[in-house]
Amino acid sequence: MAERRDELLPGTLDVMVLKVLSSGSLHGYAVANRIQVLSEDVLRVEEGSLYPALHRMERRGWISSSWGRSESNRRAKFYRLTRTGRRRLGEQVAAWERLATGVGRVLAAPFRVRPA
Amino acid sequence: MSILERLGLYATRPDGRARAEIETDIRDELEMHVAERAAAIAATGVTEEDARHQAEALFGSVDTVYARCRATQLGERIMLQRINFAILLLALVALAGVVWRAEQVTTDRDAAFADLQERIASLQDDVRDVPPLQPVLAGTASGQLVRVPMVGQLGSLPRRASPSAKVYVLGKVDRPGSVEWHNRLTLLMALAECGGASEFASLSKVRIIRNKRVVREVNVTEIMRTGKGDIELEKGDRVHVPESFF
Repeated sequence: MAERRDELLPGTLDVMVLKVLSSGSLHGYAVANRIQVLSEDVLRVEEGSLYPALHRMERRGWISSSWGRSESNRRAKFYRLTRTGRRRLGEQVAAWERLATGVGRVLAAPFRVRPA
Repeated sequence: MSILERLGLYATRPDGRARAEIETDIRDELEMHVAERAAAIAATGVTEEDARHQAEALFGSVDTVYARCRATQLGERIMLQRINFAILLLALVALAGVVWRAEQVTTDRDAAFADLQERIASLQDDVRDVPPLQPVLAGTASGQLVRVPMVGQLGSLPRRASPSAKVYVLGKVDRPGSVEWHNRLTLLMALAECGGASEFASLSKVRIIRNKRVVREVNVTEIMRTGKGDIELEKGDRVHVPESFF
């Protein structure tokens, strides 16, 4: 478990949700758990904020939903990636990599940062 | 989020189900998450009550999340509701305006009509024998013109004596009968209009009857001899020329 848990960068929640859902159909609780596990608990997400993002992406046609039962037999809404969502995931992953590379290059500049 | 999404417009069609059903689904979905999390926390040995509190704290404000999800799912409806309300409001304002204006026009028209009636009535007091106001058709078959007499013209029509403004000459005149009265009509003039005295007339005792009484007995021979003393007649006077027995 990491010492620090970092706030999410704006816009990164969508791409992570899409990525997690690309593995199959999941309900919101499972999506939250997956993100936590996959980020090795580095990302701190207020769990509720996941749902407006899910509903928004559903209305955009990136994901679709259906009702079923959770492992503990609770009524649960399952989300799955649509073809549009898969395309968006590809675009957003590429955009993220460009951004990360750019930021990484700047931060890797060969001069020393003085401690404050 | 785009401007369209802010207005509640998304790429997919809105959920067509009843609003209450959609709202229940959102509530259920959020509750499921908190319940699952609480159960997971409780499994580590925490009391159920504490587990529930911790789960809620991790989730954040359920009401805020619910409101955002609801706005996303019902966005179109909320927007349409606002548009409907605005249209209804505008329609009401427009209707009120139309009603108000119609009342004004009616009031104006009624006032104008009353004014017109008054003017016609006052003109009709003065004017006699004027044909009733009627549109007059004139012109050729190809282009007929409709001429409507203007009320304003009535004032300039010639005034005629009232039909009742007459003087009646009876007795020994050539043509007994009525004579049109005017305000300078004299006894001699009235007699002249009736062709003058007949053969056996007694011109020395001509009577003027007014309001059922003999008001004068006039010697017309004397007036004709001297040229003086001719009498002005009044409306409705009766002039009687008696027969001479000599």
